[in-house]
Amino acid sequence: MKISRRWIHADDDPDSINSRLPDDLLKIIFSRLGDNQDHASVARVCRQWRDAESATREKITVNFSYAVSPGYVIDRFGQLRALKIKGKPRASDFGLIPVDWGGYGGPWIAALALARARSLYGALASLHFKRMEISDEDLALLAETFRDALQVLKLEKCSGFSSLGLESIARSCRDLRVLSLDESDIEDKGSQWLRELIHSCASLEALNLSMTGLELGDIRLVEEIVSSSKLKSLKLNDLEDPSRNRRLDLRQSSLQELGFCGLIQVSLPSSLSSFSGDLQLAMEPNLASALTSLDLLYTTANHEQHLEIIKGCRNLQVFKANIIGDVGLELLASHCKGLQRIRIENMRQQEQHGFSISNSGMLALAKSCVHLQSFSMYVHDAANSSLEAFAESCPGLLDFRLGILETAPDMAEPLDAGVQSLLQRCPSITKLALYLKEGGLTDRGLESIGRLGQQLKWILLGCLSDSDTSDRGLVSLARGCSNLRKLEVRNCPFSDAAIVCGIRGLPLLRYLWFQCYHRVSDRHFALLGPEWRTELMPEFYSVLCYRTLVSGSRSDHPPSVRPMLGGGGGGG
Amino acid sequence: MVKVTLKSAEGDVFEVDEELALESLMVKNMIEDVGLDSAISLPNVSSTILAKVIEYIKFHMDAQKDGSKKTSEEIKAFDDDFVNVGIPTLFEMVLASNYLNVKSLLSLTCNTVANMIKTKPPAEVKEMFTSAKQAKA
Repeated sequence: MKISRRWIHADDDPDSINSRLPDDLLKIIFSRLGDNQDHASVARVCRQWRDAESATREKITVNFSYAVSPGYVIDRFGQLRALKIKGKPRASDFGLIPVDWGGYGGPWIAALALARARSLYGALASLHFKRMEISDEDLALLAETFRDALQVLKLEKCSGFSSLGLESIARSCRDLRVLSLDESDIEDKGSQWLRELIHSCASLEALNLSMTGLELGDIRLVEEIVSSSKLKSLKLNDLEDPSRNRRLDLRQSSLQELGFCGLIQVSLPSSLSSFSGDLQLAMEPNLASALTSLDLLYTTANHEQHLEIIKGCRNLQVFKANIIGDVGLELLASHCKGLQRIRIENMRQQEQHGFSISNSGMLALAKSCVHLQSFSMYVHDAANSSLEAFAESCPGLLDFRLGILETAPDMAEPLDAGVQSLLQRCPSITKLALYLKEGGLTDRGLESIGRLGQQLKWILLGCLSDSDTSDRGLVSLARGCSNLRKLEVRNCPFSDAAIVCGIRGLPLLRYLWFQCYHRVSDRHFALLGPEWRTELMPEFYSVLCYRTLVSGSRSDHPPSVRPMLGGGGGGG
Repeated sequence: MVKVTLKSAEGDVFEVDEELALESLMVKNMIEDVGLDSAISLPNVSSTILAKVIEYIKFHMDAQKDGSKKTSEEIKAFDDDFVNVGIPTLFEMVLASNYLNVKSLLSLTCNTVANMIKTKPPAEVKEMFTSAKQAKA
């Protein structure tokens, strides 16, 4: 009989220090760990720890649905309370992969139903699917399988289902506390499902239908939802008031979080701390100052109104908008010193309205908002001075994403020094996105990311130019980022050979997406180990590589996705 | 004050106040079962570890007494120093506090191990527990 190396590995030595602690004590220790990463770490120490960890893990995230089989997850983790599965690449948000690429939830839901039939997963109460294809039949099976056990269901950026599927959920899962359909593409077959939800889910605390395509129609339905449940969070799609003279009165509700778009009159509750959507309404000063989170990404408010709104808010921790410009940013910096997360998006609106952000706006923000953890912004121009200011004053940064607007001129100076300072002085940054323009970063910048970026788990590089960067820069970046999990590269001058060479040296990398305009050769990708799969999407100039425990290539891809031979993609 | 005699794995004898001994629920049960006449044998606990456990219980009992001037900072400093030991000793203390059933010490030692693991990269965690093995050998 052939004995696998793993059985005779020294770590499994029964006299080793690790095996001194029996399972029940390991379980006590493991229950005190932090995030999934800690759990993954202890699972790698030795076999006994791995098994003990499997038996205690209550929640896991499958970061890519094709990286493991549903059966593997169910066999290894039998006691889950919460499961999150991510499907399609992030590129699908921007239409950079085929719409029918895959990421089907069906096999997962079928496997969960089978596990439940074997009396496993009795405690599973929370399911979160992100960027997956889910059918009405899947939802019906889910509803039938978990019924009252299911307390949290999130279908984020999913598609393939209609309000009929939601009706099955509403009818069976009566203990649902959270139903979030954030940005899912849902076919609207009437509001019967919502009436069912109001009728049967008395414990609903959060309902999110924002950007879903589900119309609520009459605002009276909103009042009905709010009055019949103990909702703390309600995010809706567009709202209309056909009569145009009704005021939506939410003052008696205990809503803490509210989101909607549409020009209607609303009286807000005093419990509100988070608002997203169309804030054209005049807000009472004490309501505005109670807000800690404000999302104006989908507002119709103009620039002046944005400024008025910001002036009233003094305690924002989270702020999202499109057209605030430097003036708005400076106002925000002087009013909301406790800001932790900021996101300024929608380049088109910024450009159209002429309220784009420049280095001076960023500089003001960096100097005042010293508690910033997450920065994500499209700007007209950026220079090292603002990046250095962030490095200097915001040591708690976790996530830094900078994009330069498409219509902006080429960059005056490469951000090499600024990026270097950021990584040097903000040791907690794990996510870094640089979506720049000609002149924005050189090989020296890439090299310093490699030298200082051991903490980075996700990197996105976009639109670097071939006059500044080369394969050598990418390879030296990859050489140092030993903790990198995901790499995304868009419209950069790197060759397949360099990309493959770079990622082969990264022990934890599990996912690479890149867009390129040259012919990709099978030869290079065959050099990735047998645990890698590569998929070409020629019409989208996209290539996806991922690491998987599943043997062979997937069979559910459309013709526009071509699994590449070699690596392991050919099924061997 | 009534004394209790505890006997370690090596056969060393520790004489402690009954009040202190009762902090170990395991010892408490033994006393209830067999009385105070004979020494209580603890074959799973070495002398070194038993001495540490006694030190821990004594400190916390004193700190909780009326008139104790110990601040919460001092108590925390004692705890931090107490678990500032190598992984093999720390594991012995986890085992002993579980066997003797001293809840607060089990909690302290388990939290210490968990905190050693938290936020560290997987390779470092593996290395930590592998080198602990070598240190013992």
